[in-house]
Amino acid sequence: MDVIANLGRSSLNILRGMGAALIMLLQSIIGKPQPRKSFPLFMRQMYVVGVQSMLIILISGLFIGMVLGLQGYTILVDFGAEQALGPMVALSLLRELGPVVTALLFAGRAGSALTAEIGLMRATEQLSSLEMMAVDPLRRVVSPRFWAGFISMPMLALLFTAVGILGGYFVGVQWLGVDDGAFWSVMQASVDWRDDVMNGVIKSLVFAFVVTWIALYKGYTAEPTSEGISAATTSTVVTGSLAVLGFDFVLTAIMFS
Amino acid sequence: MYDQKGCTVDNLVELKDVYFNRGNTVIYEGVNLQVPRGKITAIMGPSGCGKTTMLRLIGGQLKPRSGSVDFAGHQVPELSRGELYELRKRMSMLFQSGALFTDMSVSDNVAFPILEHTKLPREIVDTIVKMKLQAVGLRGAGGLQPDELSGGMARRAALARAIALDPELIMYDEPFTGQDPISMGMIVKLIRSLNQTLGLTSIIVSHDIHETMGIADHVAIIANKQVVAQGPPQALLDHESALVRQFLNGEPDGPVPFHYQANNYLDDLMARGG
Ligand SMILES: Nc1ncnc2c1ncn2[C@@H]1O[C@H](COP(=O)(O)OP(=O)(O)O)[C@@H](O)[C@H]1O
Ligand SMILES: [Mg+2]
Repeated sequence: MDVIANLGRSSLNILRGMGAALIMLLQSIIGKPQPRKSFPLFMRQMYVVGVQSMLIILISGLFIGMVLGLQGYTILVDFGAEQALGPMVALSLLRELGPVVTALLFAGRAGSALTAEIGLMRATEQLSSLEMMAVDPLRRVVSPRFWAGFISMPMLALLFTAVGILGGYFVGVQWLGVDDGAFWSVMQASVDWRDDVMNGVIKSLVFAFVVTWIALYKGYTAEPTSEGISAATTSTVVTGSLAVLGFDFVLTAIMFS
Repeated sequence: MYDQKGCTVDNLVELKDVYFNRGNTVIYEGVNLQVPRGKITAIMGPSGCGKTTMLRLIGGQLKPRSGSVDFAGHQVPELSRGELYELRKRMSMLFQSGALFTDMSVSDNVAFPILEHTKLPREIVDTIVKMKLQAVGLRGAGGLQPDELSGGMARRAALARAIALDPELIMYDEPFTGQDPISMGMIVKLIRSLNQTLGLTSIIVSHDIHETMGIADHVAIIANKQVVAQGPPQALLDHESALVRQFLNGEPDGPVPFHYQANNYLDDLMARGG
């Protein structure tokens, strides 16, 4: 009986948490737009969340692309199909690795930073302070960070994909000697704009939404102590990554089956 | 303040019969508090008794389970969100940690509430900021970042921000905690002079009895989930309640026992051998 009661209690807690997270999100993004105030805040967060994540995204994209080139070549060359290296690299990146790996890296780099920053603002009473100054911390702190995360991550995923394809090109064509023209033309012929590119972008929009939302909620509700903040940061990375992988399966099943 | 017969006269803030819970923990059971206008009121009590909670109730960040919280004729718990935000422009709170925004310079911190709530041109805002910083002795530190300030300077900078919009009420949450004697003295002096020159009503939450009793006009002592005594400092020092005297004189033992509740000491020692 205890097991069932505990199961029920923890499901209720999870539901309650999701409800609270939804309310937080709605309160922060719904309301009279004040572009003159919020645009500079948004741009600043685009820099912090987006631009500052670029280096890790570029480097990871390059390496993943190079590994794909190597692995793909050794598999394809056995079948004499090394001309298919172009589409193999491009499709893996566009459909899967671009959105997913970017989201995982984003959760670790920007998500954890968002959680820690907001948790620290809670712990040092900056959020309460805003409230007492009659400034809504959800609109002021959470909202620009949400939009910045939501918008910058799909852009990072495209960057990741582009650099990854270049990495695959360097290894496959420049190093292992796959034919240059074939690499690009077979890729162009087999990549479909709607099925591959758009579906990848939709995936990364969903991941961006989920990861940013989790990071902000975990920070906003972090226990205002150092243990609380570090637990919230860890939880952002763990929950965010699991959510990305879970949604990836669901979306892949819907899109490509 | 009280007149001779003990009737209340012109209170800016008044709490009546307030009950408040945190989950299942009862924090307040029927609290009554008067904050006379234009005076310095001190709220004292052991840590964890709910002093910060009291300030948050007055600021409308927390709602009481029942009872009334009156600020200048407004029932704080009954206000809509918009009305509450409007009312908060008339009060300000100096948090225990100062709570300066870490991503802005000291000047920008002070300018923040002004830019947020007025449409004054930037030059005038800058002038006001300089005046506020001058009032706390930090005009030269306007360009510094909060993490470059010492604890005492951070608290004074936060104070400049708190008075930026010329509030009617200012609430200080443990302003003396963790300050060295010099900055303690500066803050005491500032609280007193702001109160006199700006005609502010001030509430100080503290357990530094010495400093607080020195500048307060009115003192309320919280214990056992209630305000157990309030009145002018002198009247409290020889209050009939032993608990109040224990607290104000800092005696280690009394109604609040030195020993946490335990079974008989001798039995406890013998139990191991037996
Ligand atoms: N966010 C919170 N959630 C649950 N309990 C809290 C919270 N904040 C404070 N408390 C509890 O409420 C009581 C009063 O807290 P507080 O008003 O901060 O005390 P004080 O300021 O007098 O030290 C304490 O026992 C504290 O543990
Ligand atoms: Mg406190």
